[in-house]
Amino acid sequence: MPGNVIKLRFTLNEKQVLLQCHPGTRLLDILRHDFGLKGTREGCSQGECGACLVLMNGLSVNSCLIPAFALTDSEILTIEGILSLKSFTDIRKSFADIQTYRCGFCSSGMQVALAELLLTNREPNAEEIRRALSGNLCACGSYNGVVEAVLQSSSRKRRYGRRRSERS
Amino acid sequence: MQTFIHDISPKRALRGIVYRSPFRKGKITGLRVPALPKGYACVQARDIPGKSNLSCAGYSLPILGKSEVHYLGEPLILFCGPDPEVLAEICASVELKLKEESPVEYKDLSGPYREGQIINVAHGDVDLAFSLADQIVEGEYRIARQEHFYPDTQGTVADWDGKNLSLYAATQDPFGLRSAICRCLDLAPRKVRVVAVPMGNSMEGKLLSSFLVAAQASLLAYTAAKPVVLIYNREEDLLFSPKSPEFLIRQQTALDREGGAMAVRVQIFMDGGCYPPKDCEALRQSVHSAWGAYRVPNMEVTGRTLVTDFPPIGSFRASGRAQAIFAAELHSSRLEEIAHLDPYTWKKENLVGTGRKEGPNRGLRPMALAVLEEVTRISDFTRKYSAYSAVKKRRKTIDQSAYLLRGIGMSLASQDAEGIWECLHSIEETRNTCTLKLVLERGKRVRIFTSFVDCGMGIHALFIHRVALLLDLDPSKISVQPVDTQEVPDTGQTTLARAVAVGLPLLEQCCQSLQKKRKIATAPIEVRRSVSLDELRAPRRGKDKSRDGGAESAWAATVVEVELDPVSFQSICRSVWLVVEAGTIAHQKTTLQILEGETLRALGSSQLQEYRGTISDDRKRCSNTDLIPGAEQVPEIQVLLLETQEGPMKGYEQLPHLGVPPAYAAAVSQATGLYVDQVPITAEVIQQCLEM
Amino acid sequence: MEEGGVKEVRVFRPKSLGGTLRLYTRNPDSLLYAGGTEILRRVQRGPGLVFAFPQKVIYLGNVQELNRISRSQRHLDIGSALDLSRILKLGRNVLPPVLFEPLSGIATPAVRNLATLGGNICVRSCRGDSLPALSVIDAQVELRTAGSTRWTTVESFLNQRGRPQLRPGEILTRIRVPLEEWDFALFRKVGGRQRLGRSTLSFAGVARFPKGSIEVLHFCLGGLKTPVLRVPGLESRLKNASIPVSTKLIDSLLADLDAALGNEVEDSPEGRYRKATALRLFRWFMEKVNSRSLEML
Repeated sequence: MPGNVIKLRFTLNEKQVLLQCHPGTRLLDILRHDFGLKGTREGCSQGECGACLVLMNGLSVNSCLIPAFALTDSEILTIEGILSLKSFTDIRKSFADIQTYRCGFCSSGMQVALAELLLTNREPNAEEIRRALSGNLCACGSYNGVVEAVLQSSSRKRRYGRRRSERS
Repeated sequence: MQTFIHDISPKRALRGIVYRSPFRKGKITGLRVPALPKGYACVQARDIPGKSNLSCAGYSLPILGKSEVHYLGEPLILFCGPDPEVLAEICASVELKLKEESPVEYKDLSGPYREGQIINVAHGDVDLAFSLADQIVEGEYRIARQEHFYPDTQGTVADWDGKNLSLYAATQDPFGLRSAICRCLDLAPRKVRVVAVPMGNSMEGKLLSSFLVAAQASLLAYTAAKPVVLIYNREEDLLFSPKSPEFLIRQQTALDREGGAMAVRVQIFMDGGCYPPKDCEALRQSVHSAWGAYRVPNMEVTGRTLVTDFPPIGSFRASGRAQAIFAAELHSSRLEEIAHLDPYTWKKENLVGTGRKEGPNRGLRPMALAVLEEVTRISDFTRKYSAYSAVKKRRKTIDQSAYLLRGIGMSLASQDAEGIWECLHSIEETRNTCTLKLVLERGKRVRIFTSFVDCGMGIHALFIHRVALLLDLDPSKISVQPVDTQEVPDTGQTTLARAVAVGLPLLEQCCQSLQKKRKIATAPIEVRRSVSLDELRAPRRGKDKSRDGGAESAWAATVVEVELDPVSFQSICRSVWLVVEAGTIAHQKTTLQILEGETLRALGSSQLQEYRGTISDDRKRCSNTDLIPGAEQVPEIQVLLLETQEGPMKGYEQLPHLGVPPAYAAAVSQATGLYVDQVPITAEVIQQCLEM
Repeated sequence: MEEGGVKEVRVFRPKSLGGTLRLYTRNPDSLLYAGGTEILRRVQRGPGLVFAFPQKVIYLGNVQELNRISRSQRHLDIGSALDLSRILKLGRNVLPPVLFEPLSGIATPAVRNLATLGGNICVRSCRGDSLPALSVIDAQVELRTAGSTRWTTVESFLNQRGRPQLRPGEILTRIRVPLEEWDFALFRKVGGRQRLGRSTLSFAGVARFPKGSIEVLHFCLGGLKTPVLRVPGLESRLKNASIPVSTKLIDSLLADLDAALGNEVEDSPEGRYRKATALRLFRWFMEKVNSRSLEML
């Protein structure tokens, strides 16, 4: 590859990684091509559709808008990393329930946006969920289904929590 | 997680790139390709071994421009090689000399017209009716080009091993694609294998359009003798891939003294882009739907396709019909005003099907009436319509913030099965049979073999649930075989309507046969059922010439309620009610969710910014977020299915695209007191209407 | 930014403001990079291709002084490289509502996690967002070089065409947001992301009317040819006007504003819409001031 390369060290899905690449390489390309993490998808390439969302230091960012040089020492969590965490099992289940009528292209981006929300708010209401998803475009128009699925998962969790506390 | 075309990248694969014309129109006088580094290859029009045009469904589209350029971004040269950066540099150093010519715009409706593309439909004596008319009402309605905004851009991965070609393609028609590639590379069908990968909701944007990128990738792989990945980037896809055509429709109605319609004259102008298809399905659909579902004794419709220097037009959900219904429904709202009737009453009184034999769609009255009545009831239409009309009368101007600018609009539309047969016919002259296969495996597992691809429309889910119900199995035991032309039979191109109208009956026949065979044989059991085009058309032939669409059409009545901000004129859709009659519903939850999603997309194309991809200054102005609604723009959507158990299941995915735009425009017109005769309706459009 | 192939790109990653300023003095042709959301849209070249950065980039993400907020009784000092989400975390009670509104409406949550207030001020395409609000509350920007510091208002920081007026080696370091109380404050953005129109226009207005008359009223329009349009003549005509402001006076002010907007829009459907909407926004603002004044009585 022409041009210069930099050495990068950052945390990817809770593992320290080292990489050499051009400083202007997009994080999206690093994830998909260098690490084979294809769950992060390329939609609009302009930071507008949310298909390429990842968590960077706990905050959702568009990986198509992050150059390699801004990655040093950061913590990146992709959809693959998020889904492997126990705390996000509910999100995975919610999306599995609604998968039949949607193409699923935007699913990973939506799940990252929801993961960011659920990190700080375990029981969001519909308005908060919609606001969290305001940067994710869905070509199938499945927003209501997603909101409902997340709300149901929250109430499932609440019921489960109540049962546990009643038992104890 | 689903694997989309973007996720497939075989080892050793080269990357492809398309050099496109930076000019809009002209004759090529020189095209210099730079010296290519080792490992890089290029393809020009002269290198195509077979036919250099993609021909299918009446279209004839050059794979690469040769001596002339007809639209901005027309593909001229293909390159492939290992490094995308080097490919970008190669593309940047191509020298194109062109004698520029001034492009033909759509604004000039005097032509040129596509030869053989003037369709006339007439009944009665229109001239006489107009000469006797008490009043003539005229309107002109414009429906802009629409962008599919499929989430995954067009792309194909092609691999040529010296003897056979394998393609991984995001396409709605894998067998059609195979035929097109065979012609392009002059290969026998057995040498080409197409694997259709799952794709994002394509809005029918991956029918013919997907053939072009596949042909380009195939040519590169064939030349380089290596696998090639060719994926369009978002900008080139937005700007240069085929769109739905723009329509301008002129409606003239001759009214008698009581305000009854004596005659209708409709002129339809369709922007056919630079390579308009012969015998265009969209134009035919628009001509046949020109006066919606209403009664008129004398009618004359003329449809014309204009040849312009815009990118080629392509399929779009409900293309042609949606534009015609928009014009007819909005024009009828003017007639309602003249007749001093509310939309519900006017529609009810003017519906066809009172026993007279004029025009199409006789015998539909009970279903049309049922959806109309139901939507009126659930939306509280009559009360709201009168209340908003009263406010409109009290208000002097629309920018008085003391009054709420609210309006409610209604529309009635049908999704005709007719288009499915015609489409089937026009796609491929030699493909006149649709086949579906079912295999019962050991462990009571069933596998469905079909070429219908899942493209965000729940088709596979629908099939799985149907088989589960008919064979009394758990859905988890049923799967759909990945779509590979070497594995599955040709069931035709994928649309939900075709899957329902053609696929489901075949599936049901397969299940019946399997049930019988189960009793006498052990697994694995294979059953296969086919239907020919002639058989599909047979029930229609027995009837008289005027088409009785009643039984085959799905019906929807739509009500949209909007509120406009008196300062910015931005409209907020408060609610949408959609009542649908679509025969037997195979899977209610999926159907409801699909209708809700399609309603949202239809609302997006009614409300959001117009797509003007070919005008250079729009390159930065028209972004993705302007084309489809986001999570915060979702209004309250209520979908009600009127299920008729005895009828077959009908296609329904087009219904929101047919019903929402006119209902939305009617609601905005009521809210503002202005005639808003176009979609999309942005704040600027309302300002323009106010100034007129 | 010229589109080009892959170049040698040198990235500096200073940690202190002093170091940054010295580095910038020595390398004045460097690109200052903080959130990058707007820059990257311009330098992006497509899937699999690297961003077309200039040869030198100074990354401001690690400069502590540019990434913090300090608060006193009278004002907030916001570091220019601080992302919008962290600023918004201050909440409506701390951040003036007239500024909270535009910042919370910028782009998407993920973009707000990257985009900075400094970038929003310096980038031409973001004019409709924070600038009118910063202008009406008399916010100031701190501009520093290795050897000097100066403060100026946002209007004078930008020239007629919206370009930042920076001296050689100068960096926008802080934004000082006054925490004054207003009897009425209002922000409204028209167009932009998912706002159902292609024209972007914004309006910010604040007013104080303690004793039956207007003590001070500021309003500002964003998104026109002049990036931050204030009309001091109109504001001074309203000073000491009794409230509710009479319809006659509002009509007369609208006529003056109409004249002031003469060269601010192009003669196109979008331009005409912008102008008409700007006038409607002003009338609506005055109506709101009047109703608020009646509530206070």
